[in-house]
Order: sequence, then C-alpha cells, then structure tokens
Amino acid sequence: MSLRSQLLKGILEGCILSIIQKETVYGYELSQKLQQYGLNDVSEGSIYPILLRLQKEGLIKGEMKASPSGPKRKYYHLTASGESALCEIQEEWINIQNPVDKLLNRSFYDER
Amino acid sequence: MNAKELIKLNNKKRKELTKDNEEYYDNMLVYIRTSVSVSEQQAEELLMELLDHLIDAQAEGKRAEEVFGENLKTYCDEMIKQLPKEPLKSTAFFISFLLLQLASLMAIVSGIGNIVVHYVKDSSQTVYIGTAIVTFVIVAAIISLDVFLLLKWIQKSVYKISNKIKDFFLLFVLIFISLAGMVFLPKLIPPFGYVIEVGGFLYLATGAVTLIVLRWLNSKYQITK
Repeated sequence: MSLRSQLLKGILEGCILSIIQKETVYGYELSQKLQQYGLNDVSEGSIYPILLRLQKEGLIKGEMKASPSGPKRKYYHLTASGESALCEIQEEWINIQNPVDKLLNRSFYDER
Repeated sequence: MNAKELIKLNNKKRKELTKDNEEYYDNMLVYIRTSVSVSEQQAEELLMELLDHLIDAQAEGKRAEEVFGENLKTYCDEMIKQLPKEPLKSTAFFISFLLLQLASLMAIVSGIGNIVVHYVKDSSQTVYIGTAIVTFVIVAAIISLDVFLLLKWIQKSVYKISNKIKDFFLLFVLIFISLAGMVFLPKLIPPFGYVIEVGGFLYLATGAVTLIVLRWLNSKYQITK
C-alpha cells in the first residue's frame, strides 16, 4: 500500500469513528453520511474493510437490530476504547492541522 | 441470526438484484465463502451487509462496480484479512466428523468387496490393523488435498477467465492420479500391526452402524450444514 493511501485510510478511520460516536449507524447510512460531509472520493465499499478492522481492534461493535425501514441491519456503536482512540485522533489532528495546512498550501499563501 | 438463517435470507434477498449486480455479488460470495479459514458466522454477516448495501445503492441507480470497485479480488482479500478466523477447535471437530464418515464408508465398501471375493474364491479374511490405518490415512490425505485444490480452483475462477479445455484436462488428471493413488499406494504397504480375522459382514456392520450414528448426530446437532 502506498504511503498516500495509508494516510488517507488513517484519516478516514477517524472520520468514521466520529460519525459512529454521534449516532449508531449501519453501513449504507455511514457511506451516505461521509458523502454528505463532502468526502465524495471515498468509494462506498471501502468502508467495510475499515469497519472490520475497527471491530477487530475492539474500537466499535456491531449489533443486528431492526431498522426503521423494516429489515434487520448491523448497527455500529463505539466501545470505551473506541472513545479514547477517537479523542487521541482528534488531539493529533489539531496538532498537525495548522502546520500541514500552511506547508501544503504555501504557494497559495505566498501569492497573496 | 445464525449462519444458516443468514444464508437462507441471503438466497431470498439476492433475487432483488439486477442481472449484472447479481453476477458481481455472486462472485464476491463464492470468493468469501470458499475462504475456509474465516469464521462462517462473521463471513455471512459481512455478506448480508454487503448485499443490503448493494440493494440500497441499486435503488439509486448505482452499479456494483461503482460501489465495491473494479478489482474484486483485492477488495475481498482486504476484507478476508480482517475477518476473525474460525476457532481451531470447531474446525478440527468438523474435519474429524467428516473423516469418520469417510472411514465408515470405506469400511462398508471393503466389507462388500470382501463378501463378494469370499464367494467367488475362498480367500482369507485377515485384517492387519496397522495396514488398515495407514491405508485410511493415505485415502484421507488424498481426498483432503483434492478438496483443497478444488476450493482454490473455484476461488480463482471468480476473478480469472478460465480455459474450459485446460480445466477439464487438469480435472481429469487430478481424478486419475487421486484414484490411482488410492488404489495402488495401499498395496505397497507391508502387512503389519495387530491381526484380526474379520469377515466381510463384520466390516459391513461396523461401517453401517457408525454411519447411522453419525447421521443421527448430524441431524440432531447439525454439524454439517
């Protein structure tokens, strides 16, 4: 896997954890939410390998529940270690957000 | 829901897919189900999730390729890597159940063989326990290898267009070598081990009783689904 896609995956993991923290969702809902936030480049299916990994690491848990539309779906919720992992990711993100933004958009700032 | 119920529901729901989407999904299903090391329950739950997702996406006019990507093998491998493995204990139990079934079938076949031979010519009915066990191990090993190779072959056929003539030829060679091995390898084993004088009928009876008990256990506990 290239470094670039690894980086993206890590960030996507954080985004998924954040959505699940707010409310329990099932797979399709989750992909819709990501798109609503503007992450259109993320292909829908790519959430499933990530969901499986997050489950394996014990950060989220899936449970079969009846959905409003009828059929049973697997809804995901955060575990305690998921909560603390999300906090860590949020802190790390705040620390690098500004400097990375400045560095990567340097030409954009220089022009002004 | 257990794996069996999920499979049933999956069969029903799959009919909602369009022809192209069903073809794509079927390939995914075969690829994941033939990965024997993963937990069946977890694999079926994942397959149900993917199916639900595809049905929802289809309602919005999306194709399976757009949802899961063009490269089915890489995508499925990535998921299989993350799926929990089947506990070793239940796999071992399952395999020994199948092997026991195989052993009783072999006993029945050789029992009938012995009886026929006995009526045609007056041959001895001596069985060497050591030889019998080694013979069984050889046959079981050959059959296990065949099953393993066939599963790999099915998995490969999902993402690779196969050459029918070549496949047929390979299958023929595999069956030929397997049968030859099962018939001739045991003949190379010198007689050894504890000696019992069994008639073909005893063989037949032991095999039949074991098989009936296994069938009964299976219908009660559903070991093989």
